[in-house]
Amino acid sequence: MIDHGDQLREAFETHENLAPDPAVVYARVQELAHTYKWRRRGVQAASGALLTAGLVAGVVTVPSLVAGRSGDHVAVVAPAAGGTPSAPVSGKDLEKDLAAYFAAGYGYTDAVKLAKIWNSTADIQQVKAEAGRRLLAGETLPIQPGPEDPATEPSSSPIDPQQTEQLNAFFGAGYSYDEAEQLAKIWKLADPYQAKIEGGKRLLAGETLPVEPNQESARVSAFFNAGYTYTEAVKLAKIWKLKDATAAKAEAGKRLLAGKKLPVQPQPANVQAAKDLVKLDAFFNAGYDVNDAIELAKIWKSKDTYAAKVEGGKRLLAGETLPIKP
Amino acid sequence: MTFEQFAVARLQSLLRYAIVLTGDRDLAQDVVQEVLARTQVRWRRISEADSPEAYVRRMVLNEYLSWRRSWAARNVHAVGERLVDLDDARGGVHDHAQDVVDADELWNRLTVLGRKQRAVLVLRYYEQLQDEAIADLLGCSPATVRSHASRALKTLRLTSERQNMIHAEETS
Repeated sequence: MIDHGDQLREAFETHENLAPDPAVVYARVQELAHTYKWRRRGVQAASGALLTAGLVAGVVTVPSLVAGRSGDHVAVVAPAAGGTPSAPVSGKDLEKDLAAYFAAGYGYTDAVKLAKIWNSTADIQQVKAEAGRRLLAGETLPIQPGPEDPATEPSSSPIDPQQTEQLNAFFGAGYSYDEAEQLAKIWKLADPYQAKIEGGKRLLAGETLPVEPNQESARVSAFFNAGYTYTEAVKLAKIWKLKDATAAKAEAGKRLLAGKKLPVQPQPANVQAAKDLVKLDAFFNAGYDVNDAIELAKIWKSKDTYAAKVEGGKRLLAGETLPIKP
Repeated sequence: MTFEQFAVARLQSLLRYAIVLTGDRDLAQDVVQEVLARTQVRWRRISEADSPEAYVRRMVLNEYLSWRRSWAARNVHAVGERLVDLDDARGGVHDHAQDVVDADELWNRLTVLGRKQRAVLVLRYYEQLQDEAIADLLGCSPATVRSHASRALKTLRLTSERQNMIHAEETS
């Protein structure tokens, strides 16, 4: 009899390739993130409007939307506070309330706490919306944003190009977070991130590390990086008479890393997506960031910054220099 | 690491995780988009976590568990035929093609589960986490995790399609 776990693993792994196109998702993420930042300013304006209009009752504090630090507060005039949560909201109101909630630095964990405080049995999303509605109304919430609270600094901070190179050397050698954890213990470093930097530095200096990389992980990455998906893994498992697609991914990756060809070819669209990722890596590895991509998109008249990054990576891989410095 | 480097490196993995969790391509996209947009806004803070990826995967899980859409409406139509014992049906003989068919069938059956039950199975068998770690993620006790898993497995193997539909409506 086959174990339930094996059946479920098989069911999950055979369907993970249904995932949507990462490029489409990433583009949408950028749009949403911009919207959230814009809404944050909108929430500030809303709070300011309440302040100047002098709508109601007393002076209370709400988490500062300017500094983004949970300890900072600004005084606003609060309307008479409703003691009980309102009826569920939907549509644009819901969207607006949720945006206010997240913009103020609150997260899922805070919503759970609020639900307990308010003795609410509503869907946690409605609790977030209710909290957002109160914030927009100028009220203060009974808790401060927890550790999940967002910072308002720019989303992509400049990174030391040398560190980027070290991180890439670490990951490029097939190492992952698991090995970084082990290395941090061996080298008595504060965290796995430091171990990745140190590991990359040593690899670039031609040294070997005291922990072997996870070969299977590197092989599976090579498989996906070549544009293959689960569909081809199933075919390969059948051809090579392997027990499952997971084993086929590892075997295929091993062959690809050895420069061999596989008996099954990936879909052209997937190959293109994988190549884009390689170009993006080249772009970032050279020290460029999103601000550079914006500038390059203007110069090249690219349709968006994503296209500019891909084009930039392509030119860098071809040995060309870009019109701007990172 | 910048947010973009993180996204480039981990987006595909997050999408695979989301599709397995949600069982729905559109919902997986919505959940990941929502989470990553918030991640981008908070990136400075999140990047300081020991494992930003683990942090973001947890956000994906929470987003899935708190998503407010009507699950019964989305899911019940996808339920396949009555549940059977896969091993009995195969008579103990397995070939690869049959495995794929069975996996499809089981994938369809998973849609009848409540969100927490499905999450427990995904975390236990796809993420390969121990029950204690799952309990920590879900904010419940390991005993509750075992109870969710037990009920989910029972539903997947023993209940009728009609009962599954009722179950789906009740747990949505």
